Amino acid sequence: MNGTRTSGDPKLSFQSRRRKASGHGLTEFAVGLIVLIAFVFAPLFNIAIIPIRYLIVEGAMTEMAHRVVLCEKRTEAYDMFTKDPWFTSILEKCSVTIANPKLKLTIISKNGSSQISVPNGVSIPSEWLPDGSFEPSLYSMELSADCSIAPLFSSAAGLPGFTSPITLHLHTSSPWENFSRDPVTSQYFVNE
Amino acid sequence: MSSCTNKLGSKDLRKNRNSSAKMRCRGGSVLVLAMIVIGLLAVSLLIGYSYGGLFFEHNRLQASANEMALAAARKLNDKDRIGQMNNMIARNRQLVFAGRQQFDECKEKYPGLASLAEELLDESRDSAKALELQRKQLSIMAKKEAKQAMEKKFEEINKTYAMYLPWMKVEEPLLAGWQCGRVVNTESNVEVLKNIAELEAHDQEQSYASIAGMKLYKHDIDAKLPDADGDLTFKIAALSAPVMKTVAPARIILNANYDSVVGDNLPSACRVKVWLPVGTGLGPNASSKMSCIGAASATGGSTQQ
Repeated sequence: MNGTRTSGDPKLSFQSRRRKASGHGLTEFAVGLIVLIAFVFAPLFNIAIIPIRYLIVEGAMTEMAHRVVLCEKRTEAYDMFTKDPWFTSILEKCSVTIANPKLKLTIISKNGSSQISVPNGVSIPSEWLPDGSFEPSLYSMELSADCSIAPLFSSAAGLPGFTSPITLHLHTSSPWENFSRDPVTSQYFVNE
Repeated sequence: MSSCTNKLGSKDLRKNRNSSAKMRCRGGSVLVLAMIVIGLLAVSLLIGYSYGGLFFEHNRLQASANEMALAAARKLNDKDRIGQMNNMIARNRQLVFAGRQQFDECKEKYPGLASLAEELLDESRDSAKALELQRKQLSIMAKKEAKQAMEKKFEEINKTYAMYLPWMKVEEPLLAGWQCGRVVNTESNVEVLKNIAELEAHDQEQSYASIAGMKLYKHDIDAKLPDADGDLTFKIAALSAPVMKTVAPARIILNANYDSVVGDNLPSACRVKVWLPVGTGLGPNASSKMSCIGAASATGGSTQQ
């Protein structure tokens, strides 16, 4: 490529060529490196953290749903969900913001054809109690929330998942454990 | 380039070839570097995902601890043995109290029948002593069987944990300990027996029974009888009572709802603690023990026939 400059002192000519070749490689290398880091490595690393955080949030929600179903009464389950600092603290550590957290009891009939959702503060209709006419077979506490999972470097605005948090609606459930009755009120604990 | 090299001598040509080779090498080094960077990125992500997986490993360990506790708790009140023992103790207590009343009455009003009444009283007192021995025996047996059930479950699950990666090591779980206890805010399964007003009054005076709702004997009490029969032991254990013919099923409970039993009372819940040794394989060699506690309640007492 620099062959036209080979006339004259051949020693000098080759030294000059070597310097130019080295300089060219270095420039190419630096540009390549910058492009690689800025446009490949950094964005990849930035978004690669999202699945890790997603897995942690999913695990935390499953754990929380499992914890609330172990409560003696349903009111205790709601109290735990709203007051237990474990859930919010673990999400804060993962840079995840929670919005519209909801916990409700879902009951499915024995044949699976019908179901009912019972929110906080509402009693279960008598036909949906364990000895009710619908012969319900599955009581599960369903936990759902809108989770904003931030990439490693994020700002308020931008492309979700790349430069700003991505919002996902996560949902998990766990079957209710305590089907006994309260000796004080004779009511099912799940209905208290 | 080839036209240029024709003008060079053989010596120069050799030098030029060497120089071109060097240029190719430097140009290729970007590709090599890119591969290294992508490789490093892939490895670091893999390690990141593996450590993220530790969270799931913790959930899995918690589920195993719960499963083990439930297996043990189910065995505690197998065939309602604790419920029946509580009921027998309460009824035997009533029998001793009634026997004592009859004996006192006979001594006062019908001396001829006093010896017969005394025999009946002695028989009921002997039954109380025999029952107390059986209760202690049941306590040992129930705990032993619960432990065996828990260990059997542990054997089933502990082989599935070990995972050896170059950057992370997960060993087999270890059984750190187990306990038998009761569920908080749970009284006994026995309703206060009626028909003997004096005994009811005595129980009320001694606060042996719960006040609200069903009148149940309180948990873990030694319901002593008054006066001459105060030497007998009538220990009634905690167990979920059947309410409106609904028997409480065995279930997993929160660790916070578990409590230890007082003295040698019969247990109605189990708690298991397991450890999972985890360690790093790359960089500084750090190791730690993941710990989980599972608790479960035994099946409640059945309805008395």
